[in-house]
Amino acid sequence: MQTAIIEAREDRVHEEVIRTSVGLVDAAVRGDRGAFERLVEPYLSVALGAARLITGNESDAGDAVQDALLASWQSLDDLRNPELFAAWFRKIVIRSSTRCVQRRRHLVEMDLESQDPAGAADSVEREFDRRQMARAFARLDPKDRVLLTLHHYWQLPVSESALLLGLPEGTVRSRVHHALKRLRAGFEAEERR
Amino acid sequence: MSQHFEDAVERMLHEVAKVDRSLLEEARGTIAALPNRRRSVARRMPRRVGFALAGAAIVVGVVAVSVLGPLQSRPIGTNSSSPTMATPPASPGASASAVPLPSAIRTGPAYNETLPVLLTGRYVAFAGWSPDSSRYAIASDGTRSPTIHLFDRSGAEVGSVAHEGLFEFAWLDANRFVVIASEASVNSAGPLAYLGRIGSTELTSVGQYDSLVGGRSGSVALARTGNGDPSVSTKHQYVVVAADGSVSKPRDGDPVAWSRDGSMLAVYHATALAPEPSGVEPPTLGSLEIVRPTGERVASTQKPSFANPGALAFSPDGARVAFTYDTAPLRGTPQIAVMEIRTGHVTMLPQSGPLTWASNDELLFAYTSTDYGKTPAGIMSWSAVTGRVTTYGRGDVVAASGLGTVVIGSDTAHDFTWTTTTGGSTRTGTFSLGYTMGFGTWIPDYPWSPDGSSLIITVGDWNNGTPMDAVLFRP
Repeated sequence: MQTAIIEAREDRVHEEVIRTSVGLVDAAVRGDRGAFERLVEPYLSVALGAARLITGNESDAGDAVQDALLASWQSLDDLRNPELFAAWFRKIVIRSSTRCVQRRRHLVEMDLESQDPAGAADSVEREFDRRQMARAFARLDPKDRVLLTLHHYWQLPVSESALLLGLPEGTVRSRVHHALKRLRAGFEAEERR
Repeated sequence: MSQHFEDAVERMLHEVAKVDRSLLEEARGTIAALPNRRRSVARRMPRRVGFALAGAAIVVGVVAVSVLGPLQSRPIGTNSSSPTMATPPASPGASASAVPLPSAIRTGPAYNETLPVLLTGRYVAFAGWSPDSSRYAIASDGTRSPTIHLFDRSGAEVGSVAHEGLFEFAWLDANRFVVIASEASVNSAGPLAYLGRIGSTELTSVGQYDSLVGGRSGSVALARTGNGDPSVSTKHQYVVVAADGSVSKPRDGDPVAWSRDGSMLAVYHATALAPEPSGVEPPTLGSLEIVRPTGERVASTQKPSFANPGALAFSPDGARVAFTYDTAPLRGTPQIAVMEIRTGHVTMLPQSGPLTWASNDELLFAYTSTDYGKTPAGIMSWSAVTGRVTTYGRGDVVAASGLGTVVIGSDTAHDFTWTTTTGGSTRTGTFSLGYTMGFGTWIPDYPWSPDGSSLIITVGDWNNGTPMDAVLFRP
């Protein structure tokens, strides 16, 4: 009974979020910057995180997200289903980040010095050193970084990743699998250094 | 892949994704400084009937078109452990559900022509024209596995192939083809290439390969990294499958593109700057080599000096090859290089972008500046005669047949312009993709048929999770 109440409450909250998003999109379409800010605020932090993973550094991540904000603001008319704003914005962020990488076309050199090594004490950290893994991740092809960002950072279902990337679901599964294999191989190479 | 490792990957990603708070504040500041909104010129149009089909988890919704006649679709995809080829139904329309395209979308007074839609589905991608231009292949995502649909010029589906992880296709001739399928299971050895034939349910494995390069002549180059597992080696090898199905011995290099007549293949040779015992690819510089299908070298760049080679296209007469590259493996600037195959002389252009040859002497490319879109994109023209780069038109999509017709447009604009030059006279016109373009739409493929008579344009739309279309243009 308690579970049912909680689920019903969560459903209502979800519906409220959807209703609010639709209202905010309508207001933003009419030029209300405040509404746009409220609309994107819940997604800004993870958008920056994803952009950082894909572009490899904070500077490019900031540029990519600013680009995405400008693009989404200017093209709100094209969002035909306001309740899908989150997915639409995610797509724009991925696109901006990927374009950023394509323009720079360099292998990513992540600034790992700023990463907090505090977690190195736990058992998982001993087995899979985070910094070595981060280095291996930075050296992956940008497409692999996008795939792993979608699946293991944003944790999107395969169906949404497939839509976002314009790929069949089977292909997405296969490519994620191979991206993980490449990451593991790169990680093991880092370990042998 | 163990769950333990995947958990560690997630922890690492969340750690690396942490950004300084100031970056978040900067992003918020961007919102406050946004310019006044401009209204999109894109019209809001009703969703196509075909899209509803796609959303209903049907393999593909097929749209009837007046030019090609109604296309046929059938449920495909056995998801069996070995790929099989499906043959068309004995009686046309036995399992088809042709859907008429709403007339309001099909015609528009502002356009010369609205393109007929070949196929509508949740995912549609162009897969290849047959060398004689009589057939084409379009990939779509099935309910359980990706599917390649094979059509003839009348629009009739003549066959299809479906398999888990199917991701590459190329024609050998109008009846035979090569596909690559990747098993999604954890312990799979890697993708495999198969030979297939229309009318046969058998697909024959030709070995472990992870990519292919199809050409207009029918020869197909199959490539693999090292021993076939791209995660353990940086060395590339390839074989050439001839139109008769024979397979050459493996050669070193990474095949990039065939010349129009199939007599030459461009191959990239990467030199690792920091060799590693195994694992991900190290930074590389590389050289480009032009070889015959037999392996005989025709030309090559003098030394390894190109990083990250991208788009590559031979001029129609095969005298030149243009390609994009980076000036350095780290923090390089993308540029275009044009190599004279006879002399090996390379001309560098300071711009870069998707490229196509309008004629033997004129290269067109869609230039996007590197200032994050602040400078408008445009179609540029480079003349091999004068060596000058001039503005050709507006847009970011350019497709030249190499035989007189050029189509330009944008992946966010509604209309396209075509120009055909024959015998000194020029005709121009516009056409619509029959779909409201805008931000969130994009055009991943726009290949001309080898005979220059038809252009297929695939359209993706991310707004509303709508599917992709393939549309056909005939000048």
